Amino acid sequence: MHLMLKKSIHNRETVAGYLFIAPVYLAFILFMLYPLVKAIIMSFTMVGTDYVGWVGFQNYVTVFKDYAWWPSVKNTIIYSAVVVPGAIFIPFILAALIRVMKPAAQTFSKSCLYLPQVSSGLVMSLVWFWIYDPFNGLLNYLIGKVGIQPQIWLGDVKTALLSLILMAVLAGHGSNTILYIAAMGGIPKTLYEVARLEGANWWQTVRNITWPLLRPTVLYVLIMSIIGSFQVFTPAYVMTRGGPGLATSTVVYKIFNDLFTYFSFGTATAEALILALVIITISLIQFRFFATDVEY
Amino acid sequence: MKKWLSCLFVVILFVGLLAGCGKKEKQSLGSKKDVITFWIAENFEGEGKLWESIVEKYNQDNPDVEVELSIKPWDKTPMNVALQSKRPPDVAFDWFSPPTDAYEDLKVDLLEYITPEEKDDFGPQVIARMLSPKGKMNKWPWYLYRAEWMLANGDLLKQVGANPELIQEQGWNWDEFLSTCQKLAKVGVYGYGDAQSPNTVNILLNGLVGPSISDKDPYEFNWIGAETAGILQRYRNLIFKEKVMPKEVLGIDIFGLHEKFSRKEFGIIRSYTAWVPNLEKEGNISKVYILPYQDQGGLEFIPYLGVGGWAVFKQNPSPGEEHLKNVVKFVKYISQPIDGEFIPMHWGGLPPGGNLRQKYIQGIKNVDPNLKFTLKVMETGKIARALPTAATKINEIVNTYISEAMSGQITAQRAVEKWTAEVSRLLK
Amino acid sequence: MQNKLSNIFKKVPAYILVGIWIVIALTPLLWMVSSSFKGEASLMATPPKLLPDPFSLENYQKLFEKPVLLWVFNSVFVATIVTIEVVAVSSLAGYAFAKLRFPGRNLLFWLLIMTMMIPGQVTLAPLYELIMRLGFLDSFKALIFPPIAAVWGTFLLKQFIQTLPTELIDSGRVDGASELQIFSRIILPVAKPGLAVLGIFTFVAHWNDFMWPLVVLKDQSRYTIQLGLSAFRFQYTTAYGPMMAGATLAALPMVIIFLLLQRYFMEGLTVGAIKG
Repeated sequence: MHLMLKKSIHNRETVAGYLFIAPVYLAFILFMLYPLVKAIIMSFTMVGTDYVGWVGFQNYVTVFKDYAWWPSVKNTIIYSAVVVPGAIFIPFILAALIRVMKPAAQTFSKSCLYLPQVSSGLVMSLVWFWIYDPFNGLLNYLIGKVGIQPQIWLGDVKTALLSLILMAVLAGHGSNTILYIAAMGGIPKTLYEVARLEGANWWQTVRNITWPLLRPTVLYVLIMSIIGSFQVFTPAYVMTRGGPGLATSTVVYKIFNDLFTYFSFGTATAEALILALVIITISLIQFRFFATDVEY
Repeated sequence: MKKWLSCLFVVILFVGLLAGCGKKEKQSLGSKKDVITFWIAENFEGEGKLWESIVEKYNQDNPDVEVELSIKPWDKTPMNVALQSKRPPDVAFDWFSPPTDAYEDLKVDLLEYITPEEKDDFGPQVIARMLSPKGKMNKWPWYLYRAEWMLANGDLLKQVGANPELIQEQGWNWDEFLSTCQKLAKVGVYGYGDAQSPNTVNILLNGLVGPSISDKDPYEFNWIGAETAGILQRYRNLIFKEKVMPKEVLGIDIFGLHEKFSRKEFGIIRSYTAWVPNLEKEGNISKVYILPYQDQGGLEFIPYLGVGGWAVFKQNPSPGEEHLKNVVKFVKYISQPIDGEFIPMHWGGLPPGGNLRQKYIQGIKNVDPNLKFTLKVMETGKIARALPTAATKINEIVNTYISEAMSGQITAQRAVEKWTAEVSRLLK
Repeated sequence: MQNKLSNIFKKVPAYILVGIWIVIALTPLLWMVSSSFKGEASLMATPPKLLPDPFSLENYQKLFEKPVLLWVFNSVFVATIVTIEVVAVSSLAGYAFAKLRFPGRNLLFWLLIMTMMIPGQVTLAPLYELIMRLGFLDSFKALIFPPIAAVWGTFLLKQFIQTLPTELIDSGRVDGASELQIFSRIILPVAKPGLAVLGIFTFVAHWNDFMWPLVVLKDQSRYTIQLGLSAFRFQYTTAYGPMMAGATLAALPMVIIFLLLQRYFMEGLTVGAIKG
């Protein structure tokens, strides 16, 4: 009897599983997979705007020889190396801090932190562009007050990329903070009770209970941050157009340029696929490293 | 509560789908007319309204066609996507046009529709500018222009004893320019400002040395050697040696520059003729003068003129000869002054056809010094052939190293060496 | 007595640190709102002034010369529908990937996730062609149907639902509930924080989307607010004032939505249900 119940549940699960993922998956096949496959084919069959038939890896080779490719890769890596840890740890600390506040203060803080994300990347880039103005921008004004020399920020090859990074790190991180707070809410209070009874302080509690139990959320934030920072585009486009020189050219900026300025569809899609492969590889490694089914 | 929510959900979804369908039906009415899709972007505030009335009038006067006007933002993405799916608009402002050698099959060859009189009036130079490398005339000329010049605060110039009208008439050289800037510095303003240095250096190189690549095949790259390095060096020295241009200018954009010019913090800037009225108003300046670029290093600066116009496309599969005839008729109509108004005048553009231009000029009442200067440039300037896609890539390479040189990272010499190497690799 | 003091010691730094961060994070936003009320003259003053002086509504007046309310309505319409459908399909799929067992589950999930790593610009042209063939061009259908492929939403909810204890589901099965009932009666209520979060993020993302509507919409009357705002950029100028006013206006509905939904973030719902 028991065995049969198990089996029918198993079948039921399978059927339900497929049914439940069907809406997303069908739309996915139509609107994402199909264009994607087409794009992959483009990287192997197009040169410029023409379908010339199979050209093998010619486009990929062209990409690696392109003078603008490796600087774009370097910039993207540097950018991500700073922004991703920032996007993981800053909101985590903020979330932990906010949770000790009174509920009203919590609501207020969450709202304040999320607010910057409510305006589009385009507008934020414009606002920060003003902040970085070398003559009378807010930033030079502030650092002038503590005696630092005014910098050129976006106009100097030495500080341009740093300016973009700073903008990303000083963002509100509202969405990730809220995510962490919501997930922390799912941790049973009893665990905290036990920890308090055993005399653990705040840091120990966080390190041994909160952090491990939040792994799936952290993993999510990690992967989304990597995807986001590896694909950074809007600030590079709005604020500096990849410049000065190639100082802020990122991989996606280069792809965009190749598509809409040079009409080099073959190399653009090749670049996009290279990028995707890199992100996938890194994410797989993260998943291996991090993902364990969290059980109580 | 839940039932209510799910009902609401279904209702909204339903309404949504209906709305999505409903709005489309409107267009199938009145489909007897030949629809011409027309894309513009606004070069100045209010241009869109002008076009709306022009199109409305045209539709009234030509009941068998319906021109559909789209005022687009300054973004090439919709055009590129439209081209890629072989459904471009019929007529678009040429800024939206892809490089000359892309999408040949979607471009209309206007040589098939041009009359001998029109060809004559435009002249071979203007026509050559509108041709693709394969000899197809992709665009219809609308205006002749050279919009990027140095703009100077007339009051400040006179204050330091410079004569802008004389400079406009006779031109000037680099040393004269430098001394004017230094005089301006003595009265407490920055002599010169430029928020788009790579662009400006391109213009200088173009005017002093010639276009980046020559017409020959294989392409020859011209921006090499000591002359080129000298030009870049002199420009770079404005920041580092003569110090008449503040380094901070590298980190602002053209609007910031205009703002400071209006506040009389800069005597001369590099900007666009379309801005003169605005700057005069904002800065309370009695006259903003358009000044020519300087001769330098023994080279004379020859201004290169651009020809702006309309890109005309045909979809694939082709819409048919009748339709194309209607489209061309519309294009020819909008390329002339309409009711005495010539829209490109707002940014200093003049009709490209010789006779038409003369007629239009005679109709202008007030010829101020800037207009006099512009007319002189139109007569003495050169119109270069349209450059192929490779030129865009070359520009990007050159500009990369110009930026590094202007930032102080590398010397002008080194910059030229580096870009020569890159470009020859590209052209191989 | 001791406890109270040490409590305060714990809490004060939290308030201070978070307070500082809030100021940093909000400065650009405040700058944007403040600038929207600055007249032409004071917009780019030297040195920068934080508060508008004089206070002016001229930017908003300029803004409303265009059909902004219509655009806002369009944005609300599209964003609402998309949010509802995304939350619906993502929760189903997210739950299935998180807690149900079926052959090929991991493979299918990974296929889904991997596509997130492809930059959108690349699939833009083929997707546009597809939309054109389906006849969705220049209608809201082009904005409403593609997001059903809610890859990101599925990912988010899968991770979130994964943290929920499996006992909930087992107890449901023992009670003889159908899979759908388990989903709707047990999982959904408990996953509310995650759903609310996804709802807000989706709404905001589609509200702010500029590229896709730019490509598929032609008729100005169907523009979303972001697309409409771009109308304030000319070739050589950007009317910063009205643009900031527009950006402030565009941000407003989302602030409202956020405040409405954020009460679903209350913690402890799960705990109440099982441990009792």
